[in-house]
Amino acid sequence: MSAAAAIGLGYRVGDATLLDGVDLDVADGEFLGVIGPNGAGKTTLVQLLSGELHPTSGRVEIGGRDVATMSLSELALLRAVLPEHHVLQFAFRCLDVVMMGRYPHGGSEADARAAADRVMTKTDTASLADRLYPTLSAGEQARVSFARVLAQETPLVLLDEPTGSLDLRHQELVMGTLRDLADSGAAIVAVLHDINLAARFVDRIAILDGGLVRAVGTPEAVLRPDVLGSVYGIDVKVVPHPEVGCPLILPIGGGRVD
Amino acid sequence: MWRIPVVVLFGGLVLGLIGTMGLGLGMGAVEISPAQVLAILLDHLGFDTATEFSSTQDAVLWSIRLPRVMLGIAVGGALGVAGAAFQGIFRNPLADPHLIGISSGAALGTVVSILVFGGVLGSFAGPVGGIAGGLGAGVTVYMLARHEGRTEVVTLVLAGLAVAAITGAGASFLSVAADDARLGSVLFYSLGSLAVATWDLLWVTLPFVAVAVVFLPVAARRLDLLLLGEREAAHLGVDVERTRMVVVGLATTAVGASVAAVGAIGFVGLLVPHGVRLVAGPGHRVLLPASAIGGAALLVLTDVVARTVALPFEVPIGLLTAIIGGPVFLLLLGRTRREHGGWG
Repeated sequence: MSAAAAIGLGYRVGDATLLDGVDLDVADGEFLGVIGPNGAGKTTLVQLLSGELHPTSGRVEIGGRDVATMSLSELALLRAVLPEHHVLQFAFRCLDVVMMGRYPHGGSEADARAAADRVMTKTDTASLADRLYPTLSAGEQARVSFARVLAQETPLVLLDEPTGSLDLRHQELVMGTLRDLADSGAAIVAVLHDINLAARFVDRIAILDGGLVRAVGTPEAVLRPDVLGSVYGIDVKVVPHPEVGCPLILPIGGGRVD
Repeated sequence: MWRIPVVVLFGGLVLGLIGTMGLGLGMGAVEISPAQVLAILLDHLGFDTATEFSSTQDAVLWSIRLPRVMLGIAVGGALGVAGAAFQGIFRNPLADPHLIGISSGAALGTVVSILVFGGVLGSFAGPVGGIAGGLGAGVTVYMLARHEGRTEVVTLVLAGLAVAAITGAGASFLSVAADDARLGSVLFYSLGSLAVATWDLLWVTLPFVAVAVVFLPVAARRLDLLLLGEREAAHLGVDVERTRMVVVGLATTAVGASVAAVGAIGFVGLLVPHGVRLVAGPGHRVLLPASAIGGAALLVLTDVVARTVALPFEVPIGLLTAIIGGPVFLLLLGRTRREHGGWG
């Protein structure tokens, strides 16, 4: 059964159609990557899937139920969301921030602490536990926020640009953690800019462009020069990755304003 | 990062409050020693002690200083806890109920209510009008300052300034024009004074403050999550709109009743929560109750200074809190500007 599904999903603001009749689903145990150029509607898709925005047409189902009929506290037990930007400016310790992810579970302080310790070890943020969140670099803040989202321990995890501000090692770490999470049964939907990173870790890729799904399928099936060329407006060469065999995208020009 | 243990924090705050209460009860034109303070209090509770005191001392302590100290505790507690709550809900460390116009709105509401409904509501006309006026001002400033899910620092303060100027002027104008003995002096609502304290005034103020001090901490976890961001809080299951209404409602209730009783006293709601955050962090489970106790202690202490520093005259307490609080506010403003990168 699909963990989450967008059914004829559309979102309009005034005259602008940000998302138009999107059909997409993600199964339990599946890692779905969403790619596409700026303004394609990727963030809007995450906001609609999370229930944060209400669709102007179509619907979102999580676990077979329409999100519009579910309460915030129900949703908080079913899906976690990592936004692209982090706005916390008050001097919480990182451990406190991660423990906030346990709020929906309503357990004891000790439970929250144990869960936070677990995910902080897994995400290589244990050494930041006592640091004050606003004093961290953007990349460190992103990793702590990632740990907070994992601490929520939901069957569905939605992430908007989880690797955007990370160094290479932590990009690998975050993607590897998400891969493990999917392999242990969770459904993951992540908006990703780095196509090569996506190709190595995800099960399927959805390419969004102009509010429409242009292609969806395995990386091998959808990462083709013609598709990428028309979506991104550049010329690309796709070769097999020399080590792991997945598609490797090499831009070779064409990125001009014409 | 070092932080003071919670037990030490609350122990220190309670001892500080007891100490300032001792000063407030003992100091003044009529000297009353700590032993005599204790003896008089015990005497009223029905216990005899060997310590001697005069009937003047008894009257001054029981009818003047004790209600004044108790009212100071109620108002200081209200301002402290409300400041912490407003800063949490606005996600803005500069949101003092006075600076964002809520106190002045409450002053206007109080004056109007006393003049119009004084006959019907009696002594409750003040707090009811104060709460209504505070809510009106708070909602106005909030709508003006909110932009894309957050309140901009400078817009909040400027909107508060404008609302405070309009409502404060309105309150003063009505005080002058109505020339009504129930309103006291023109400056009363803008500078504040605990000199009006009586047991009756304490009893009509305390319930409103108590409701806020008791129930605001119930929302402590949700306020913590709100600091993550409104979207993030909603993702974690917090009903942001409802939390905001409940918290603003409770905090304004406390501030409105306080302003109705003793006028607008600024900066307590800024200084105290800021001090608590420095030593204990921003978590609201500690911040809210600690700010209530700290606010009570600070206001009682400031009141002692206000009535003893220039004997036989009394300095308006709002002047003193502004003298300490103003510079701290400027420091915080500069720091917030740096941290937010510009005047955002």
